[in-house]
Amino acid sequence: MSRTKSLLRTLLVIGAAGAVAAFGTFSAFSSTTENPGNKIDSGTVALGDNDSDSALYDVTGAVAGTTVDRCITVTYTGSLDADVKLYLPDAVGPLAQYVNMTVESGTDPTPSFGDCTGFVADGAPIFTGTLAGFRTAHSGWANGLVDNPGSATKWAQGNSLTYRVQLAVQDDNNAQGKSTGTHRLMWEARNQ
Amino acid sequence: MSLSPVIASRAAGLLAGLCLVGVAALFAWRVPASARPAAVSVDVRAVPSGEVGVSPAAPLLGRSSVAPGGPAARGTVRLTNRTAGALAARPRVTDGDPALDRLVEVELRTAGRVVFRGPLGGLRSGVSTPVPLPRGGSATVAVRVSVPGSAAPGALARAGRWTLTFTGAPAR
Repeated sequence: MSRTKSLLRTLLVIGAAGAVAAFGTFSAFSSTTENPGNKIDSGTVALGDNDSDSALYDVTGAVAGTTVDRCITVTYTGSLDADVKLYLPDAVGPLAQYVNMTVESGTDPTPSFGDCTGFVADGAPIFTGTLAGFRTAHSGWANGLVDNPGSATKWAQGNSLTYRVQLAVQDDNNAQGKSTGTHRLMWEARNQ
Repeated sequence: MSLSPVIASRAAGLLAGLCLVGVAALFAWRVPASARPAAVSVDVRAVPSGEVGVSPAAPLLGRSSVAPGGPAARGTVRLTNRTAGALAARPRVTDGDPALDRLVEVELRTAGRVVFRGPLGGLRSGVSTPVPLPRGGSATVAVRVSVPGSAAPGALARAGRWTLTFTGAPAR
């Protein structure tokens, strides 16, 4: 009887050890699936210029025939492709109707704010008229002047355009003693 | 039917041995881990800002593979002042994988002087020593990107594409 008991105990221990070993063995077989690396990164829309917050033109004591010929380079640094429009958001004073305005866009391999030495126009002027007429036609994003680099239909990261702005006070007696008022030329980018 | 204790013991020993062999085989089938840590793919593009032009237009570091503790990726970028006055240009990084901000180390040098040295994330705030750019002037900046050997393994085998711009402010 004691031998039988001993045998049963031995088998019990072996069985338990086998069960543990079998559990360990079978537990290694498993399967999972996952969907890793989820995230959302937003792109950027960023437009800059080379004016260092200086005015493109600031003329006092202008007379008939006074002219301004200045250049500014606008650069797109955002990661998203964008539309860029030029407009004049501020109301202009009574002199603006006597100031002829021409705006050209093009390239300048060595741009320097204000200086048009290396400027090469892309084509015909993008605006010809008066300063007041520019304000009427292009006062905000909705009616902004669309202009893209070269033949592109968008602005991409790193694109630059140089704008040449020419102004001339008309030879009109009604122009004297007036001001255009302080105004901004605004370039705005919105992603496509 | 009775079982001889000797036979029972032998059977038990055989069973235990088979179990041990099975467990050992399971461990043997595992693919051993590689001793070489995975590298970080680094893509840095220098983009002009309104005030500061950059050249060349090509990527500064194009998908360079940088291993932890391994050789750094290097490139140079030439800055030009586009404004009508002297500038203090400061580097700034945008885009990229923020998870790598503390992992990737960057060093920027100009004229033998260190402009910035530290984790890439430090360039997101634009805080660094300025690069002086006189009116109409230019400067060459050497860029060195590395990954420390102590980099956390979980952050490796990632790829990041960063945009490097230099913003200018009038020099005082």
